Amino acid sequence: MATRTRHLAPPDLQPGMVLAQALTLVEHGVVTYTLPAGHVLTQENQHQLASHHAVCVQVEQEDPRTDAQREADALRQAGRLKMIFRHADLSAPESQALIQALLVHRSA
Amino acid sequence: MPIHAGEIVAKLQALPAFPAIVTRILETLNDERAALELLEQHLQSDPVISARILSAANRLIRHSGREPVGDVHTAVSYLGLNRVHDVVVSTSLLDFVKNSHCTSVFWERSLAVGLCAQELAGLVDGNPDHALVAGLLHGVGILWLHVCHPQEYQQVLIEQQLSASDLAQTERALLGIDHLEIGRLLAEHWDLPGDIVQAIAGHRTPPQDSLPPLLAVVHLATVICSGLDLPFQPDSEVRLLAPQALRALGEDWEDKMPDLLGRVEVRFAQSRTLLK
Repeated sequence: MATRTRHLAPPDLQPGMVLAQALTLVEHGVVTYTLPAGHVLTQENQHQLASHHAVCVQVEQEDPRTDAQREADALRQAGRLKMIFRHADLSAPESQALIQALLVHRSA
Repeated sequence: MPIHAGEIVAKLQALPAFPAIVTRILETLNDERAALELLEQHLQSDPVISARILSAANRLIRHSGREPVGDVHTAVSYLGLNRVHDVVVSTSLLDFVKNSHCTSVFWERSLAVGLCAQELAGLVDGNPDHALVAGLLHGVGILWLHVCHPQEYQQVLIEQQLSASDLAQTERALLGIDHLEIGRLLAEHWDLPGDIVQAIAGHRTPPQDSLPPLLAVVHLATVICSGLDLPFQPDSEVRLLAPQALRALGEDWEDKMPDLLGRVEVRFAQSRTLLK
């Protein structure tokens, strides 16, 4: 099954979830906690993340949508962004890159 | 009916008192010990904020098997100084906004832009506290107009919808002043730092050259929050996305954007629950 990346706050994590990205927590310029990408979270990790004041964590989750549903979602989100930015000049490459990042995020 | 600049501060008593704790926190940013003392004093005298700090700490440890936290000192140690700092500033400014009887969409939008600006400030090595305050107050001129000239402002909104024109332009045409200039006058009256004043006044039309980093950050925060529907408004629109503001984020902003968008959504959802 396909997967997708989700950002979750520490209270919403569950043991067994898989980290989508390496995690590095820094406090006062000092690295206080790290976990590698692909790490399977344990309850102990959850406590550690909370005590090191993690704000959110990227985890890999199953994506139950079919290809057709994913495509429909992407089209719907593209339509919404087109409506929001209907008056804006998006010709600059930087502007297009931001719109693309918003579209990918909203469609995930 | 034109509104004169002299009227802006004179009519301030129609709004709730500006929370003094915000300017005091901004004054102690470079002194962690002074900041901690100030926060502890403030928490002791403000039961509403203390309750929110306890609630946030207990939410954090609810699956840990630990006993619920009942005192503010322990709650602060669980949450960390930065998070407590954010809760105090956000709560104080959002209570100020809410007590002005604005719509929930208005304060949720202020919260979202504040949090997004704070995340973006991390990309430009900017001051996260200044970014939070500037984002939370970016629309304070609109708040003033709603409270001090409700009927005239309703007319502005109707005219803007009918003519599909820019909001600030319509305000200037009908009232002789726009919410950005009103925001600037209010922020100066409250003695907020110059970069915050500049960002509140200029975030809708960032200059091409010599773009101040905080102004770029607040401009992009408003754009991103509209793009993420934070909060959802059916008629949401962005008229200007300034590419120079994106360039101001540095060369690798595109790599950092996916994580930033996710963090903003998570923080917005958490803070909205906490502050409601």
